[in-house]
Amino acid sequence: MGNCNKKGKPSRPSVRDPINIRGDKENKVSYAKVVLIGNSGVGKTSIAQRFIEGKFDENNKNTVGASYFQKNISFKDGSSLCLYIWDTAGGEKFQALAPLYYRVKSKYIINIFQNAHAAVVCYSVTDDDSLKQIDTWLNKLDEHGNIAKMIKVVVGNKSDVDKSERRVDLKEGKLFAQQRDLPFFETSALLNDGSIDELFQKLASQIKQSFTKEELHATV
Amino acid sequence: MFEFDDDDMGFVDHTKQQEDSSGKLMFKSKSFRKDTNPKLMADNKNNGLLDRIDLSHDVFGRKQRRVVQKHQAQNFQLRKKIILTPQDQNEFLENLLIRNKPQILSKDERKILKAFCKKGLSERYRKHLWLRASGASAMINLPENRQYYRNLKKQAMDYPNPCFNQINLDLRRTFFELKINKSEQLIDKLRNVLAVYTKRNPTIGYCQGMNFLVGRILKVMQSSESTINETANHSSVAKDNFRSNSKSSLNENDNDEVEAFWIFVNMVESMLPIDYYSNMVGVVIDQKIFYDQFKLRIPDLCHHLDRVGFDPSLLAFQWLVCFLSYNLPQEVSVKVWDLFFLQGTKIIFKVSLALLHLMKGELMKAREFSEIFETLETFPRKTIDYKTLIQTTQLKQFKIRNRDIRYLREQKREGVQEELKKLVLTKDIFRGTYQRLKFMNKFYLYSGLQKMYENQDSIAKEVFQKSLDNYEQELMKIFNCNTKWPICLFDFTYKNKIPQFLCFRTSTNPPVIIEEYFNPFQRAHIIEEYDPERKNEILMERGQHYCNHDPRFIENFKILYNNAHEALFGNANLLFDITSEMNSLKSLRQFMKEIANFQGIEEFRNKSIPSSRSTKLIGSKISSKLVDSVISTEKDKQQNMFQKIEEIDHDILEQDQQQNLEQVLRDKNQHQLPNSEEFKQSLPKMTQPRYKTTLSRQFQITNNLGANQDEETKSLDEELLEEEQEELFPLNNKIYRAQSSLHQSALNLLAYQKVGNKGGEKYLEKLFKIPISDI
Repeated sequence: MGNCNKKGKPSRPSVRDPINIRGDKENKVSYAKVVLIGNSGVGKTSIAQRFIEGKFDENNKNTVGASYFQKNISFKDGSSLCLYIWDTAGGEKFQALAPLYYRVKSKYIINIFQNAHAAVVCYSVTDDDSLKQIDTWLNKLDEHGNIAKMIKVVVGNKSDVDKSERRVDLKEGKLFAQQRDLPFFETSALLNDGSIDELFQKLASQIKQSFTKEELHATV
Repeated sequence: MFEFDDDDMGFVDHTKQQEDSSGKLMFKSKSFRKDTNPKLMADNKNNGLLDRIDLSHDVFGRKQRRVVQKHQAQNFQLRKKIILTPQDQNEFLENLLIRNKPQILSKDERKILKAFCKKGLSERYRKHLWLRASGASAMINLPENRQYYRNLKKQAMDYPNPCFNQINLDLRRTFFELKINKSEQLIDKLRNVLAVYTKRNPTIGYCQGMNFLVGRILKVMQSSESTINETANHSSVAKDNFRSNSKSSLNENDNDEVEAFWIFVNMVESMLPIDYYSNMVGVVIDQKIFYDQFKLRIPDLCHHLDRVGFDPSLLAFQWLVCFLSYNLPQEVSVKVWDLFFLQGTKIIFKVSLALLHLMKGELMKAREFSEIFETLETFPRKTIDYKTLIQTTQLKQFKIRNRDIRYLREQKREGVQEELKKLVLTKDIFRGTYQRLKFMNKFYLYSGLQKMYENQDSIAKEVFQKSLDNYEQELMKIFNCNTKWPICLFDFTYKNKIPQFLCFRTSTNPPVIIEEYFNPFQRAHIIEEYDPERKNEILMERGQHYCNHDPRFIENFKILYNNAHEALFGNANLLFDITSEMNSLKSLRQFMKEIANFQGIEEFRNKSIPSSRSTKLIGSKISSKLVDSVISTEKDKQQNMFQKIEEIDHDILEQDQQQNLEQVLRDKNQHQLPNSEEFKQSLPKMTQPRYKTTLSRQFQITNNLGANQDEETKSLDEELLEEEQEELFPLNNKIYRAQSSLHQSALNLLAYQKVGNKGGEKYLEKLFKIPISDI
């Protein structure tokens, strides 16, 4: 699944090894953890797929638990940032407990939100409940996340739909994000209109601005 | 007396297999010598199950031995001296799976079938194997189940259960491997089965992942439909009768739905722990067991993954929830399921471990998190073939028994409960919109409410379409419970319920709670007794509406909500123990009592609703320092509150339980028992029975099964009760053995009610230990 950038990686024994990450050779690459959250069926997996593989798969399956993607983003100044993207299941029963929790080094049980540098909170423009529930997701991030500077982005997906199917206007979404002081994007995973690349590009540069190099190490 | 472990029973003997030609399978002679054991023979005779098999041994075995060449491929060697040709194999399976009466398979039959399945069962028999091995065919043929599925299908979904929306969302994401035109017809069937199951058992309801399970079952049921026609004339009389009866009145094409439904029912309700899909505690426990077993059995790989930072239990979650159907290719996973139906959960563990073992080479090479993830995602789908997989599961290091799993589940439960308790006690410092939404999301039906009103032209629709601020203020206008709904809108503990109290809503009268619902024999009996006329419009459910017990409750609830009052939003009772049914019920009652008795409601009554703009979003703007300071104090406060919950008096609950018990004794036993008479005198009289509970003959059996149960706490009158039940129902029907674990829990609950606090916690714990059926 995770179609990952493998350039120059075989030489590195482990991304979790701090010596290698801060070592001179790898100086230009930083790592950031991004979580994709939102109600079920808003298109989280499709967003990730469009970004990673550049395609839209109509025969998607609903996510069970969580899946993982990884991609490098390069900046104009020659530096780059590797995004670890956790795509989570939106199902109501999963939200409650199970998949959010996993182990690090077999000892510490942490949840998926922990050590996340950024969160992409998605809703679907065809479903006004998914917009309302964004508050709940933001609340969850505050509850379970441990990085205070965490960057949150509100994304309204499925912007390609007919006007008749649309339940949330662009304005409404914008206003919603504005009230919460959060950046806002409207995207379409179906159309190849660059909206999703733009989203992650901006997110990456925002991460780079807000976090110091030391903070941008890999915590999967 | 018998050992039923894999490695010495009914198993392919590797050395012999190598001597003979490759496709041939045989049993160790040792295992089948047990057939000659007179006691077992007698048992089998009684059941009438093995007659045919024995016959076929004699007839075919001796004849064929002379004729058939030993090295002929595809032959199947049964016992030392018996070799079955392909024709004989077919004859044999036909006898066993299709012509025999549709009863639960015996242990010996399972053993034989297991050997067939390890070799790879032919498509043609798969459907029948699943039906028989899961116990579904027996359920379908029970007279009271004949119209069960179709009746439930006809029922309208007229209450706001969020499951219905989730099902609709996932339908089109199930058959990702099929082309669209092919899946269209399957999707309708899938919707029907899942929706009917939600109606049957709203406590378990629908959980993402179930769509893959039912999808797979449906596909198998359909794939062998064509072969069914030719063999249909062989199928049992009872089945034919049932079919022809239903065909006349209803759509013929939903037989596969009915079959898939019952297989699914048996999977979820009797092969798995009951809290597997209801609140997912069972899955979390299994996830932990899996991790431990992995560490124990493949330590070097586990160490490697740890070093890279990958937690395999994350992936195990997918494997466990979907029984490997999510990750394995279809043709492999159906074969794994063959074994799963025959042997139970241990197969999932074994196959998962074997998968990791096969991938070990690849995984050890991986140095990065992403590489590991990629291998785990793609390798099973592309490179696994069934034979290697099954051979790997047979390695000694992957031997695991169902009883081991049962034991580990008991062990792990406590730890998981502790973790979940911590989850409940999270920081809750936000005001305004956040707080309201968080509060509302506690109510199970809340998210379904909007979707339900969406399609109606009413004032309610407008409320939901308003912008967030207005919506919040007007929500209470339409936040009304309907006592006809099977789930109470105000029941915030709903997700925590255990389906022991499943019941039928037959009218607006107080609901009947049928504790041993899963015993179909008993069930029909009770329904008949209760309300014979309305038997056909029954909806099974949990239906307990506490909200209308005190008229002040709803009124106060709404007033307090509009004032964003702490007494409501910060109510300590909302933090109930997530894995304890009893505690959550206590919290719910206490919550309603507190709200109903809220002092000083008058001063809020006419106050205007505070605009959410003024109270909005403290959370997002608070500096981290402030957050931390608030958290620490708030946490202390909440912990205190939590302790208080524990101390709340048990009065209400106990009274209820005693009334229950009284009712049980009065209703079911015409001749009063001395002990219950005493009980009765010590209690205040109840005006109207709220529950009606019955004990069944089945409890006797279950007691024998759970022999290690604590005998001391079992009170005398319970034993008397059982004896009496035995006379009432002398039928010892094997069909119900699979469900017996549920009865055990129900029994435990009753015992708990009787003994009160004395050792009660033990019984409560047992509620969760619902083992797999004794296969």
